[in-house]
Amino acid sequence: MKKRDGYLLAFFLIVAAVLAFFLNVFGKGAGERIVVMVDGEEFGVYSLLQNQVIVVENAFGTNRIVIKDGSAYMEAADCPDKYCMTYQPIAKTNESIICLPHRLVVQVEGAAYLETDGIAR
Amino acid sequence: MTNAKKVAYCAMLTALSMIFSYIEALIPVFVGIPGIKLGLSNLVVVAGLSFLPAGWVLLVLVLKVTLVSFLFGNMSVWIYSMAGGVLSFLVMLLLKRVKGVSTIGVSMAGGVSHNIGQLFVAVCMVGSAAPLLYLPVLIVAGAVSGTAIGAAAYRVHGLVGRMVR
Repeated sequence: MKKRDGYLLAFFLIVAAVLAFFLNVFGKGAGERIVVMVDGEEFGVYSLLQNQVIVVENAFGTNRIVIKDGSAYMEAADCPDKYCMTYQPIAKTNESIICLPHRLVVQVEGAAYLETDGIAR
Repeated sequence: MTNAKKVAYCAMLTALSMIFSYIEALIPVFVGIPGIKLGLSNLVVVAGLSFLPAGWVLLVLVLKVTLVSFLFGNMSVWIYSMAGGVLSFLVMLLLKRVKGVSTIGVSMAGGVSHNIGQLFVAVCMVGSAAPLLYLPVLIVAGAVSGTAIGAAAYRVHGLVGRMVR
């Protein structure tokens, strides 16, 4: 290992740390609902406050998303690798569960400032 | 090195990469972090770059990705592997020209760029920026696995380098 290898390693670690810091500090807040996207198109929006089961069935395959006690997780999927089922439950904004073979993204969204005017109401 | 020798080495490296992929398929994936693995078969690309001309290494890479994808995966595996493989190949080729960077550094950057290439395909595939949240984890994972592969390639070249002429 030469000197510049060390610089390179330091560079990668610093970039990763800075990215992780910004994504965590500015990206994550209290989640309110999940958006399910299939192949880049919106499939549906579901409240995290309500316990429910969402079944996504299409040409790519079937996924069962469960919302329970404010967080969402992938309960079942018929994709070959089943990586999506190993994700931890998601509850904070921008957290996501991705099922690549089925081109499915479940992402948490928070209260958008323009939509919910809680104080005025 | 004669062309016949290059063809022979090219074939040997391709065969070796397929065995590596098979061995890797037997190792369980780390639970909780989807899609992170060692990338053992990339050892042939890193090692190949130390004694074969770049064009021949690219040939090994394309053969490896295509054969392995269709044996153990499918079409989408091919796209992910190809994007990661070609990007890391180009980055490693560039970095090899930089003085003061050893095989380990080259391979480290290769590992990181491999993951970035795959992440880019993932973003295109799902049509959402959501996968980008994994960029920090994937950079670290790529650097770690790249360093391991680079260290192995360095050792291998030290042992068999004299035989490869």
